[in-house]
Amino acid sequence: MEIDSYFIYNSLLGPKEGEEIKKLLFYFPKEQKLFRKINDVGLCEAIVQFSNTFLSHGHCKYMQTNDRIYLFHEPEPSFWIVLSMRKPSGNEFGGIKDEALLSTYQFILEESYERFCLWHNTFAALLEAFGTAILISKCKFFFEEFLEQFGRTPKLEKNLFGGFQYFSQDKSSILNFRSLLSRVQETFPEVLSVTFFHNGQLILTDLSDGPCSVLSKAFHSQLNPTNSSRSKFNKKKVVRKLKYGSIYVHLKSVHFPALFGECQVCIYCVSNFTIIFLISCGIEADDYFSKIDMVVGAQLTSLVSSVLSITESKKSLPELNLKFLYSNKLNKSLVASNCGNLNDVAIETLTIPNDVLQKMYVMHEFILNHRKHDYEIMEKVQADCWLSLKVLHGKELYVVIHHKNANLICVNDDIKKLSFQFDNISFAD
Amino acid sequence: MSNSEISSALSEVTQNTEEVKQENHDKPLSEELSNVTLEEKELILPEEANTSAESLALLDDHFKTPQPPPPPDLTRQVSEDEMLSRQRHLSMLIAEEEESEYVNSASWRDQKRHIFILTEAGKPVYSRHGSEDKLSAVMGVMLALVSCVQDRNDTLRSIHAADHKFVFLIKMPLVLVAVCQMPLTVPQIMGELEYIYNTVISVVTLTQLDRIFEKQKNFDLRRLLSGTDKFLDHLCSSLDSDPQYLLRAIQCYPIPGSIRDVIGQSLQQAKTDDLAFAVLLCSGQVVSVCRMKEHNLKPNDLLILINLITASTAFNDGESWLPICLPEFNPNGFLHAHISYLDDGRNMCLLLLSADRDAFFKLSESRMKVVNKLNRHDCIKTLQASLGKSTYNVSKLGVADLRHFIFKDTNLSQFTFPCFSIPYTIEEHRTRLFGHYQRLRGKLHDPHIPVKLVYEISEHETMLGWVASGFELHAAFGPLVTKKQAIAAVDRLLRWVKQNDDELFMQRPPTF
Repeated sequence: MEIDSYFIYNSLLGPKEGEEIKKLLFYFPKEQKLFRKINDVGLCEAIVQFSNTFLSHGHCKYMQTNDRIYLFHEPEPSFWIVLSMRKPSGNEFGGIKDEALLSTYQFILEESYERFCLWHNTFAALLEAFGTAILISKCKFFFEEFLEQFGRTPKLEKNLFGGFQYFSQDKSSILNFRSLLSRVQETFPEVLSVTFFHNGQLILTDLSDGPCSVLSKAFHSQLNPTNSSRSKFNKKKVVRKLKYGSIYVHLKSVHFPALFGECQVCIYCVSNFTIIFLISCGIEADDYFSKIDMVVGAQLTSLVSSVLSITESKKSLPELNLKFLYSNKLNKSLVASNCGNLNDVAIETLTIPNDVLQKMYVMHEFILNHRKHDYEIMEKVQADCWLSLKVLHGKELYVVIHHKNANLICVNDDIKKLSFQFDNISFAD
Repeated sequence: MSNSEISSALSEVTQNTEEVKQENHDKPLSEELSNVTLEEKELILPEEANTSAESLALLDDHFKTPQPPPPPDLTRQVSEDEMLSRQRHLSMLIAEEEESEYVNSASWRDQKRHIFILTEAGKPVYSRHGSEDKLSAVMGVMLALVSCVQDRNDTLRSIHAADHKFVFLIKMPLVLVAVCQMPLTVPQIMGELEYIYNTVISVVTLTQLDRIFEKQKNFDLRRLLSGTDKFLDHLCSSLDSDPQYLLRAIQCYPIPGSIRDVIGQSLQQAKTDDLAFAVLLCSGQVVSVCRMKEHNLKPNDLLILINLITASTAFNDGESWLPICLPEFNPNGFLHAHISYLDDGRNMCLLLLSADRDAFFKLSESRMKVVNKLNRHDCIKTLQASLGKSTYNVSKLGVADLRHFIFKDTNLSQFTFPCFSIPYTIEEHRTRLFGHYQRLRGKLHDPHIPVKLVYEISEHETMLGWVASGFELHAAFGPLVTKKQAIAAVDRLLRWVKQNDDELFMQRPPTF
């Protein structure tokens, strides 16, 4: 599939006939003929309004035609972002495959808006403060670059769990970080939020999943010290060296409209830890970060060894003849069967067949959409491939087993053995 | 003959065929029927032979592989101005739609399943809920959306909004739209729309439909379909609860195999030169089907006949004569159905389908032969005695933990399932169970990644769906059943089905 068009419109602008173009705030590709741009907006407006006729809540999510899929996102009232993807010729529609792809493309839509907001504020705020022309130019500036990153044929998003990975911890480690977080909150009231990462994996945050994901993606290159761009960053862009750590991003202005409004971001690193601080506007004192460094830096330095021991213990997990992915949202852990390389706990490293992977996406979507707390499903996808998902109070265990001639009970026995490894007796049948 | 003449006359034919039968007992049936068949000769199949000597040739025509209708002209280039003007027209229609009476009524809007049929000119043909006249604005928008997408040389398939799916089946000159809040996949909903489309075709034939709309684009099809609404309504209700449509298979009336064989032999007595099929239904389920050697009566066609009989009381009295098109058999021509009940309770219905439109009296004699043979072997009495006892309870199987199941023999396209016992005697639970079956089947038959087995544990049930060679099984257990218990239960269930297959399925359908 490739991106056919991506556009943003406000249905309240240009209400008169002949003024339809005023509704359009951004259109990609810009070379597209004007009448086609207007036509796209008109069609999407009609689809949204028509579907609303039958809805008591919610709004239009996507439309499928023989050749295209149109995805809709209304991030703010009357502002719509539409992504149209062209299907390869001869591809039939309507199956699970499409549903799996859709969640990926929906994610592109949502992320593009969240990133725009982070740097520029909401569409409505910009429209009110600066008028349509400035809003259009900001959209052009941001979205053209954003879409360039994805290219015309975006790949299937490989991470099921909201785009960032959890660092698996034991109880004492969780308590240490929690106490450090509380201490920062108490000592520095100007700090609105603190998020700890270790080698790019999330340790602890006081933000909810959405904003945390936006932040971690926006500053992705700075979170992982082994990342090549970070190495480059290391040499050139250390803003300030402190006693324990260094500051990489210093008081950059960002927007979290629903949470804090405008605030400042500061990225601070000690050893392999990266901490993102969100701080109220107006803090500029030079010694402010020295004070933070004294509290946070000193404590983190003492935690390095305990974190290292956790990483070592993970490496000693026995090799299993199956592929699994375990996520526990309660202690923010994510474990995969290839745990030797936790820096890239992405599903792609599990080398799961594409068909099975797509089924996993559909299962995950189903859990999210239906808010299932206790649920279990096992599917025999191909001749010798089984896919299983167990959900229990925020814990999700996906297992892929290749087992010739296995029946339900054999597969279940294998999964049961695995469940015990996570101290989740309740997972066992 | 002009279009209006054709349409008005055809409308009379369809309206009257039901009324014709025995409504006026004073008039001789032959007189009534001869009127109908005369009109049909002139209007429906004017070019076809009508002598009885030619009826075999006519039958051969029916059996020819139907030619697909020409596809809609999607390659037609539309000018930019035309596209923009249609766009503006669409916006205008949307504004009108918002003022429509039904659209503002929550009870209409919140229906679980809406079905709309409209013509390529935007004329309403049918709506499952509400009068289609008052929904012309909504249907106008549907058509405008379809044409706006067609202007881009593309075809609208589905819209997904909140928990609703809007599915479009474009079969020019008709557009069928389903608005559904159920756990069905788009291909499943498309399949349901195909059933509805086939029901329309069963009344008018594809050739007739194309011919009419070729001449008069804005023809009001309701004139031709008047009286058909109740069949469409009944079909739509059945889609929500009848597994026959979900499984694309038929449910046989359970009776011992030996009796079914005798009934089959009795149906063979109906043989005439141009008799294509003889079907005996009991309580809306198939007891036996006798067919010509070279031709099969496909489940989809049989479902049209079952819907016809179960939806209407119009055939209750005497013998009825009705032209009907079976789209899988031949979408371009009519067969003629002789319909009669064999008992006073109106449970046993005999259908004799012939290609000869003048065969009413011949088939009436055939009916007598069938009835005589059935009586000679006490089959009618046996069937009457089995009424009410024919469905079985899942407890009859003696399989612990099993709450309900559907077993489909994929080779025979037949299935069996027990009656709904506790907890499914309550509608809410029954609807949930049917939803599980719908979802499970959607997974098992996904067009891209079909699954062979699904085992799903949720709050209320544990469901198992299994596609193996020769059968398809959907089973519901209690939520606390273990996998070992479930597997053991399935083994016992399969053994039970095997032991009783002669009673549950029509294993040896007779031929003429």
